[in-house]
Amino acid sequence: MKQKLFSLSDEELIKEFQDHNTIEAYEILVKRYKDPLMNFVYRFVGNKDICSDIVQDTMIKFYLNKDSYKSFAKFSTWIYTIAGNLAKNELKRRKRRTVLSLHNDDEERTIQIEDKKFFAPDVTTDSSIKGEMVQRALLKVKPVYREVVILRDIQNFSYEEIAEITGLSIGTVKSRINRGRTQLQKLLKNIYRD
Amino acid sequence: MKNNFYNDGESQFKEIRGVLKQLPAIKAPDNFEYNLMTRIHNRNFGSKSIRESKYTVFGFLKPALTVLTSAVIIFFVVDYQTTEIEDPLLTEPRIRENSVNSGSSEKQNVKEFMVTDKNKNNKQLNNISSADNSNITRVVLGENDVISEEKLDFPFPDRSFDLDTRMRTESSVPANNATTVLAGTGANRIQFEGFYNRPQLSKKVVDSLKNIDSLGVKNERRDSVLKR
Repeated sequence: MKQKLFSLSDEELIKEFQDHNTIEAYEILVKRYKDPLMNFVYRFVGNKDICSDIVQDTMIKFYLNKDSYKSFAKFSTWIYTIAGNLAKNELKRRKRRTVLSLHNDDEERTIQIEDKKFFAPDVTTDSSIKGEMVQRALLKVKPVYREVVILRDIQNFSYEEIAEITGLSIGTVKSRINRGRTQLQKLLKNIYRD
Repeated sequence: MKNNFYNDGESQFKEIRGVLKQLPAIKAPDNFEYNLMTRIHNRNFGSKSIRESKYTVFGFLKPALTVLTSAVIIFFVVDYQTTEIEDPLLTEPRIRENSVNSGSSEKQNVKEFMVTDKNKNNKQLNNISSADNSNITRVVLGENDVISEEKLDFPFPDRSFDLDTRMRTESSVPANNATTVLAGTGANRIQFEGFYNRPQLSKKVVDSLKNIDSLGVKNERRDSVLKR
C-alpha cells in the first residue's frame, strides 16, 4: 500500500488524503516537501529554529485545511503559498520587535557584509563563509524582491508558478526578480572581485 | 520588447544566479517528522512560530507603568503639608459680624501675651485659655528660646458662679451694708418692669429745690469760716 502511494504524484496523494484521510499519503507529502520548504523559509527568514517552526506550522495548516486545496492548482504552489505567508507574518512580527528592541542585530550584519576586512583574504574564498555572506546579503534585500528571487534562483520555479504562489502577475514577478537581483548584486560586489 | 528586457535579465545576472544556485541546501532536522506527527496526535495545533519575545510592548511599558502608579499614589494618597506663611499685612481684616460671632462661640480662647523681665532679656509668654478650666497653661519663653509650659490654677471653682456673692465676701464693706446689690441675684433679683417717663416737675418745685441746694452751699461756707 505504502509503496503504491510513493509512486503517486503530489496531487494524487493529496486527493487520497482528502478522500480517504490516508495519513500515509500525508506523511509522504511531508517527506517530499520538508527539505525544500526548509530551504525556502530559511533563505527568506534567516533563522533555522524559527524556520523549522514555520515549516511545521505549514504542515499543520496543510493537515487541518486539506479540503481548501483545489485539484486544478499544483500542490507545490499551494503549500509554498502557505509557507510564504507564514514566513512573511514572521518577518512582520520580527520587524515590530526590532523597532522596540534595544539590541539591533541588523547593525552587526551590515558591518559583516560590507566590511570585507572582517574576514582574512584567504578565508574569504571559503565556500561556507561565502555562502554565509550571500545569505546575509539576501536578508538585506527587500522581502518583496527576496521572495521571488529565492523562488526563482534557488527553488527553480518558473515565472508562472511564482506568479501563482505570490498572487502577482507574471510581469510584476519578472520586474521584482530583476530588482531583487540588482540589489543583491550591489551587496555582493566584493565577492565577485575575488 | 518588455519580455526581451526581462529575458535579458537572465543572462545579465548570470553570475548572481550562479552564486545563488551554489548555496548549500538547508535540510529539516532529523526529528522534524516525529515532532510533527506528535503534535498532530496530541492535537497540539497552536502556532509554534509565534514565540514570546523578551522585548514586548508591555515589557517595555512595565517600568513606566510602575513609575506612573507610584506617582498617582503619592499625589492622591500622601497628604503633604504646605508651609505657607500668612502675611498679616496682606490679609483682609475680619468683618465685625464675624468677630462678634466668633466671640460668642462656645470655645473661645482668650490669649494674653506678656513680655516680662526685660532687664534679663528673658521673654515670658503667658497663654491663658478660659475655654477649659482644667487646662489653663502658661507658655514661658526662657533663655535660648526654650519653650516651657506651666500649669495655672483657675481662680474660680466652677465655670459659672455668683459674681455678687463673690464680691460681697471679698469686699471690705461692713456687714450691715451688705444689702447693697450689685446685680439682681437670688431673692434680690429685680424684675424688669419696663421703661418709664420721668414726670416733669413744675417750676415752683424746681426753684424750691434750688433754694435747698443754695442753703446747703451757704451752710458749708459758714462752717468753713468757723473752722478757720
